[in-house]
Amino acid sequence: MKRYLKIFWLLSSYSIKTSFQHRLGVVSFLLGKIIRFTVYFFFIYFLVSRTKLLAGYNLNQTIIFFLVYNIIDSLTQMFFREVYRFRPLVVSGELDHILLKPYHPFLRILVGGIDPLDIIMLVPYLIILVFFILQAGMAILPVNFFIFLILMSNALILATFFHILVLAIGIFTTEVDHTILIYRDFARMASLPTDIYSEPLRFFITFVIPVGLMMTIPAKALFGLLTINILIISAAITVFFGWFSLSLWNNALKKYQSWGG
Amino acid sequence: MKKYWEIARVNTLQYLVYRLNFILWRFRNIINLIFIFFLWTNIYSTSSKVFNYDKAQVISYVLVVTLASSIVLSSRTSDIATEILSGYFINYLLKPVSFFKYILTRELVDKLINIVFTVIEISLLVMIFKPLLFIQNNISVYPVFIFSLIIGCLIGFFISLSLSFIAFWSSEVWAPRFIFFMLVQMLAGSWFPLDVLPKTIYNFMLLTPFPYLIFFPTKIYIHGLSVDLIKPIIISIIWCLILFAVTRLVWLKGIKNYGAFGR
Repeated sequence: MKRYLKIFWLLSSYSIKTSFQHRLGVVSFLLGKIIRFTVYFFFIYFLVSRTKLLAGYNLNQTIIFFLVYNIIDSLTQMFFREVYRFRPLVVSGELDHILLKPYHPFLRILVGGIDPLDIIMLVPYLIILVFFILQAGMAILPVNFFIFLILMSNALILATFFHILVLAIGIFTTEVDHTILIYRDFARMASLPTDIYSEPLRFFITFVIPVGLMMTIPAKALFGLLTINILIISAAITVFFGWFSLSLWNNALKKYQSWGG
Repeated sequence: MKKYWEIARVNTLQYLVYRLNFILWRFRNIINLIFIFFLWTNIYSTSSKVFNYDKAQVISYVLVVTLASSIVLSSRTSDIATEILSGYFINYLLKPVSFFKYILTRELVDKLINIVFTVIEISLLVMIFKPLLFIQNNISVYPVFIFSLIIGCLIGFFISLSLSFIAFWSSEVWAPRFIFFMLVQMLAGSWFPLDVLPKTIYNFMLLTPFPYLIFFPTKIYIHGLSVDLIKPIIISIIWCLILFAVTRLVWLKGIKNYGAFGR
């Protein structure tokens, strides 16, 4: 474990150094991310401040949903940026070199390219989240906050399995770019409470492609709106999703023929 | 002319080579459309009129914006940056085809494919969810709508092409394009009609080229013709001419700077 942490640390520091080699790129991408967040935030604020409610949630609650989504999304992108660079490894056969290394390939292809820009973006998200929680005058019970933290961790675990799934599909089909962006599009659907969707779509994005469990449910925990059933279902779905994505990954490795090399 | 037909045919076939890629790309469009469709539907669950738009108008706005985006924003010009950086670009200069006619053919194919599939996707959505739609009955609106779409296409084309030509000088080509897309999302009316914003902000936005990409054509479709349209139409034509001049200048300077490295 200590060796793995050391390799992770090394890969992360290399990744951060590489990112900051392109200073203009860092500034531009950061600016782009800030614009995207500001626009979306302003859009929601503008919209819900006029209508007062969105699917039964008031403005502050809707914004808290949105901020929780942003925090989970940023953490996910921060850790799993390397997945976006997986396709060239498969089509060039470079993946062989990674599979031969004496450590688990996920260390390199899943978490081997930490994105420092998302670390930077996390800071304002957290500050704005705290601001809106205070503004909403919400008295968050310790138990609700504890459940919130558990569900945030669960969201990150689910996101890990999603990315493993993308890697597996990448080996089967050499298609990564659209698959990862489809995941992100689905995740964006849960940037607002999934209650806005009608059935069976709501069921689909909550339990089948569980982005609703990842993004919406933690915020509901903060509001104290969850039942014990949802927690049990969340855990069960995460276990099932983990089993499914890891099985698919193992299967993909068996099919991998290093055709590009 | 025959060779450009052949270029169009080859480019169309290219889409079918990576079929899974193509299907996933279209699937993404459907997801995004569903998201924005449900968001607006929910907004109107409690009130019949928000921001001076009724539900049918806003849902129609979302659908027309989706169609307009597929026409105006679909572009293969971003590939040019990669081709310049890799050195592949030299092929265009050596082959007995006009570079600009080549990319225009490629653009037309791309837009045509986008239009066909977006119409299918929108039709599917309408058939499944059966939303109340606003249909523009005034026939004279349609030529103006199409004209503004063409202006939008030209503005988008020139901006995107200029962004790709940055590759003549720098390898940092994706970051400016990322900012461009963010600005389009903010200022082009992709998510909401810009005229719901406070008057001062809206008037300021009309001075930039972005609203003329997709918001303005869609507004013409929804609100019909009026004298208020004359000024924005003139501004959009001026932007089109300015951007043409800028793109031409960047091209002439860039091509002199081009060293075909990488080949």
